[in-house]
Amino acid sequence: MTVFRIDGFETYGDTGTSNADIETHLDDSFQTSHNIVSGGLSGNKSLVAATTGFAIRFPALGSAQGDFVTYEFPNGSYRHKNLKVSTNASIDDIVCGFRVYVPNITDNLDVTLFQCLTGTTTAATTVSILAGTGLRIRDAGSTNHDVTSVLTKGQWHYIEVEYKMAPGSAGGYMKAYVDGSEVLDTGTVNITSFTFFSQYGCRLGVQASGNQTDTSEFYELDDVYILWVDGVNDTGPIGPCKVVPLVPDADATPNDWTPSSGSDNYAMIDGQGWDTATYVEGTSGDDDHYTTVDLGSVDSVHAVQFTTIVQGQTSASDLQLGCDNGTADEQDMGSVGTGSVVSLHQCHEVDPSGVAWTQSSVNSVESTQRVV
Amino acid sequence: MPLRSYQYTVQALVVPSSGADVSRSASSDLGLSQSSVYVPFGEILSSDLGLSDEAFFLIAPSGISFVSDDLSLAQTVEVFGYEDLSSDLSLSQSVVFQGPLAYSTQHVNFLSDSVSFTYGVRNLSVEDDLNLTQTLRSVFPQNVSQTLNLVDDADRLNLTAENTIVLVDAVDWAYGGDAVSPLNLVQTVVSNFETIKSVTHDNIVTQAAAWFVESRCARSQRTDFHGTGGVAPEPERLNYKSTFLLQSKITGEVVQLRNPETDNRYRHAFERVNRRFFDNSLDLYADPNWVTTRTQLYTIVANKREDMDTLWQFLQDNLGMEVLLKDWKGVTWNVIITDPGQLYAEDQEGYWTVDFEVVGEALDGEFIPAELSLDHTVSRAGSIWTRSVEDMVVLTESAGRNYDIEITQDTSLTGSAEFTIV
Repeated sequence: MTVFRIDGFETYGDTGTSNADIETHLDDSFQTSHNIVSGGLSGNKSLVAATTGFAIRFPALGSAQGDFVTYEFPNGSYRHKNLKVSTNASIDDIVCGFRVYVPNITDNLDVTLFQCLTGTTTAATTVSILAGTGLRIRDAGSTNHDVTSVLTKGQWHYIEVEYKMAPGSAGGYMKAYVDGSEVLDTGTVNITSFTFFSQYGCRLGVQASGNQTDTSEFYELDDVYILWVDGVNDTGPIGPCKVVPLVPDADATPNDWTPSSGSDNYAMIDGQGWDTATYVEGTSGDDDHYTTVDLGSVDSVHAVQFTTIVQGQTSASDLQLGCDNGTADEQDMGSVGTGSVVSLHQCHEVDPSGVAWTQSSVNSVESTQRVV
Repeated sequence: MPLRSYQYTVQALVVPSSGADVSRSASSDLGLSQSSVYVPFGEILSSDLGLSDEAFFLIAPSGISFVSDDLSLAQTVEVFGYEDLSSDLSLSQSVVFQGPLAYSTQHVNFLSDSVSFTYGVRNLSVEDDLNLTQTLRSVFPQNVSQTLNLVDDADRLNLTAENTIVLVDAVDWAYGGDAVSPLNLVQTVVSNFETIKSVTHDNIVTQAAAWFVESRCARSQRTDFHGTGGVAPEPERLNYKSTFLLQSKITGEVVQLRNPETDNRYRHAFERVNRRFFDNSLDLYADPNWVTTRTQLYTIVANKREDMDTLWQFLQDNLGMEVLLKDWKGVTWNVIITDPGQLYAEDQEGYWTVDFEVVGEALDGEFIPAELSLDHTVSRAGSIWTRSVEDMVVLTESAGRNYDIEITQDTSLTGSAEFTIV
């Protein structure tokens, strides 16, 4: 599997107001407060209903402010359980794709959308909107690589950023694509221009050269994916994509976990928002299968991600997460401790039979979670 | 050991196909059932069906190809004995496309509206209005076609079949282009009684009607007059229905009986003042404007016991109350049961005879009642020993029905009396 994170923001609650930021982490940590603050120029992002489904809305703020959606690698390791790889050095070519709405405002700001992180908040290379409609890659050596007039105000665009590191030698590069077409290529540059992709990942947001003065519209973000270019399953960006949420709509067999109320397990865990009062609880050996709403007609399915938000109760428990089409394909997510709520993701590029997903196989597969 | 899961979600990373809707499948199913309960005769039943059907799709920015919003609507009105029935069907359906690119859009609207009558005592007017408004708009259309298929079937029992279809078909789009709006219309009017011989329409409708004219030769030409001189009586045309019904206006209970004895028996009661004077002369006074009560008397023979019990119960339950009566000639009356019958006789084993009386009047247009005019003139002229009393009764009766040929029957009765002293 090389696609290891997808995010459509459909499952983060409703578009009401709350008091906390939201961050998604590749390292499985998760804030218990998941609602999104209704923003504007207060400096917070908000969840909005867009024509593409739910999206994250950002006001364009000066460089000292702004919030982000962060995708981090686990501390001290490039290995991520989703990737099923055993060596660290293989992961040196990452593609991050995301859909962005360029607001039709009078401001022509430079707005940083994508940051490659080398620390919790330390950004190395960045990809920015240039003067409202252009695009810029700024490498770690502060060299700008620009292209103009590739974006249109008042429209959604799909931007993909591919960045390759070559530790210790030249050979790294960064490319940017807009709506499937390559618009920027830094070319092969000396690695010293790039900071080694350390234990942190990347983040998406809006950090501008100044506050936007025209507040009639804001930047919006949606349909995120992150994949590792392994040269086998994926050789580069996969083009404009869409993330479609498929919530559980029925219990399948087996159905061992115990619901907090009623008799339908899926009903306890199918909401866009969640709270600790509504849940299903399983003990060792309990296995739950669910069916989900159907996927409509598509050209292809690149990956399916299964996500569960869990918390250990009296002691830590191991969890297997995945899917089953008669053949089970589950991944050991490790021990889930008590105290903290965590979000565990399992991303599959093929179905349990090892065949590329189709609309039909997505609709027939059962989603699973099992306490070991 | 226990592990709690608060949320479980699945997300698919998909590549939209050109012209495919990548959203989750969306369906908008509208199930609508409307039924009308019994409404007493003479009242108006209306069954108006308002329908709004919306389908909302998540639109992928890469374009859209096909959005379907199928609306199937059927409205059925079943009536029994209504004077006025209306079946209005209004439909408004709009499909709006919004997106950076729009492919060919299709909007197919199938609408069927039928009004059928299972049992009608009489139907004076039936309206079946079908109003259809269909709007199709596309922001960036490349090709817009709108096909409207309409089938409107009206089947009525009365003479006048009016079938009005109001159709507004509008196709708007942002850019100019060829407008294709094929309209297929099939309209059929069937009447068993009388209809227009031919119907033509200037545009696309041609109507052919078939009618049946009862041959007069099929009627009885029997003449009962025998002898010579005088005027032969008018032949009485036999007009006999096979149903005789009583229906409660409160519960709707219907009692169907065999037809009664086929003679119209009335008892007319009116006020008349007699005054005898000391000279033993008799003056008679009556005012034609005084109320004349006409009681209908029915005798039904050879009824089965279970039918008798049903009738008896009905007369008991509705004694003194208004009920509907449909007589053996098919005329519907609004009557009050005044006498449920004093004696039910078993003429022979298993065969019962019943008499009952009602007072009432026919529904408007059903029957033109016979006007009974009493004009008494009493004069005291001449010798006290001779008195002439003239008592003239003029009875004019005519029966007319909206589907019968009007016939009139004049009856004159003149009587006179003379007193002579011998």
